[in-house]
Amino acid sequence: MKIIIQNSSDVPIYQQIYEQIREAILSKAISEGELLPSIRQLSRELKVSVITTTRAYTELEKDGYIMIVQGKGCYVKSINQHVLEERLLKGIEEHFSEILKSAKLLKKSDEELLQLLKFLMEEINYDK
Amino acid sequence: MTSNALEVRNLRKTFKDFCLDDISFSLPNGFIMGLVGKNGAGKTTTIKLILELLQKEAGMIKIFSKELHSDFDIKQDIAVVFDDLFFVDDWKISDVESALAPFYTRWDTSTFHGYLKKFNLTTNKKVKELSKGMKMKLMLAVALSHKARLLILDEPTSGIDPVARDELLDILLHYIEDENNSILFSTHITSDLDKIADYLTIINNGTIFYTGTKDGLFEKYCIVKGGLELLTTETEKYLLGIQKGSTGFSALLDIDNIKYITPDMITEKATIDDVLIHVNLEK
Amino acid sequence: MMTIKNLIKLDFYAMKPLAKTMMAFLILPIILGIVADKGMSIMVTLTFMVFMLNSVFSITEQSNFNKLYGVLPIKKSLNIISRYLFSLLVLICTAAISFLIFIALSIISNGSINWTNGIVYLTVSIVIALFFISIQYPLYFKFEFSKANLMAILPYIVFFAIGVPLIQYLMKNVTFYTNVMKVINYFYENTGMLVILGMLISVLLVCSSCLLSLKIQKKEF
Repeated sequence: MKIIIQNSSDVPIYQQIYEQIREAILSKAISEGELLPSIRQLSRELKVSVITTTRAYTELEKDGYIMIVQGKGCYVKSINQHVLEERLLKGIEEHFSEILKSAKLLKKSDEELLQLLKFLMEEINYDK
Repeated sequence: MTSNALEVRNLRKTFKDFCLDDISFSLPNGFIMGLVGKNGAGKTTTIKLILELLQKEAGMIKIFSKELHSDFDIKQDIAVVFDDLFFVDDWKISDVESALAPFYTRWDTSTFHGYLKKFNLTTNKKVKELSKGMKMKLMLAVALSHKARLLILDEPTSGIDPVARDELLDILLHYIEDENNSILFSTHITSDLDKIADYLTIINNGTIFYTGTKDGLFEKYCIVKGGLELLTTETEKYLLGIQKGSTGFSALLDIDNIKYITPDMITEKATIDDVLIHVNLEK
Repeated sequence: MMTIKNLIKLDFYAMKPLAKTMMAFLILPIILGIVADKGMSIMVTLTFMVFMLNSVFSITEQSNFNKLYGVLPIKKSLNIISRYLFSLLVLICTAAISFLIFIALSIISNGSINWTNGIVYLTVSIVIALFFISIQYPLYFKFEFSKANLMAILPYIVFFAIGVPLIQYLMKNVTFYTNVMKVINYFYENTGMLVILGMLISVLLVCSSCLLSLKIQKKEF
């Protein structure tokens, strides 16, 4: 598992850890049932405080990605594909509504917005 | 599991020209606490009081829920690294072990030699031949070899190069991989603590300015900046340690008071250094 | 008990850097014993040892032993008691060695041993050495070495610069002289009494000094 902490970033460190582990789980880079490094091992490796890694793991547990078994370790939970898709879709919806709000502030027309989206999609596809 | 490794309540000690007053903080088991403050703020005095190298005037200190003067065996559970060595200069490293090991019931020679090897220290080397960084490592090796559960470090990183500092941080994090171990770490080099500390206690002029989680500090305080014309006597009341320059001002703000500042002022995340600098200006 | 043993051992380790100087200085009493008085050599050796013991305070202070005592799992008063015990131990060993030198020198030069002379000197030397220690140690435990060192020299000054001339002056007085000689002769004839009296004085001195040190031990390091 790869986790890269950016100290200069505005994103809190626990959130950086949370997001990168979540991404690894969602992209199946770590498979379900796999044992994650313990909270304290992870803080040593990342050179961050125990409270920070604890917070990242608790959030991951709360959101149903991992399971913390006292004294044993943290496992990647099996995720119901359907629920997962729904959750991700909801995330997309939320982001879109944010975009629409910002577009409204800037008085951008729907067409301009779509064009921007298309442009971005092409760029991402080109990267791949 | 939420018991405290160290608990200090209303500690007081007065000297001719300095006074430590109403010092209270607690370090939960299994975590790292940074004791921060500028030189002379009272960090070393606090540590000496904890170890009873100084006699406290008032207050209470509990280590693993016991008071030291009632139970001297607690010291078996404590390890200390000071900024200066307490070994005889002419001792070889092997003498250090022979002289100190008998005092500890849980001394582990193989652990000690493991650390020596890791730190590139040879047993026939004399203490006075060691560099400052090496001396710190030797003290750390002694400290970590008798299975102490509370490690107290007093300015271990002052005068030590960044590489050795980084190694130290790694050792400390390795040490608390065991959830029963805790660390109290006094320093004025805040970059060390920015990374690894769970809790922070900030001492300023002998009193506690903040004690709590490190994240809590940044959630409670932020830095405010702006042009001098924005400062009024009314807003100044809510700002801490205002630093004025010809181009503007910066100050510390308790986030609860954010409603009292004008929108023209810029707020940003504080660092431990920021807090120290501004708190020092606040008299 | 174990702790005291360990603390005494710690003091021996602290003394280690002095070992070479001590060995070199052991030649001095031997030479002195040959050229001057064999009994005198016992006294010199023991006085020299008191100086060496003073250096232990200097070494432990320079090495921040105050902090070490704070870190080690020991009771605060124990380091004082063990320092006294350590000093006694060192002096006993030195006394034994110097007495052996005395015996050896006597056999070599005279072919016989003047036991009375030896025991008188040994007893007086031990009492004097312990007298010095008893006055110095409380000072060392109370003050910093550099400060206490000046004060600790005082007993020597009192003893040699004032006491000796004073006695010499008084000796000119005939009645005083005869009385002193009577006492000295008495002890020469009753060495047993001298030894017992010496031991009594020593125990009294050391015990009261130790108690004083414990009382006035610097509270602030």
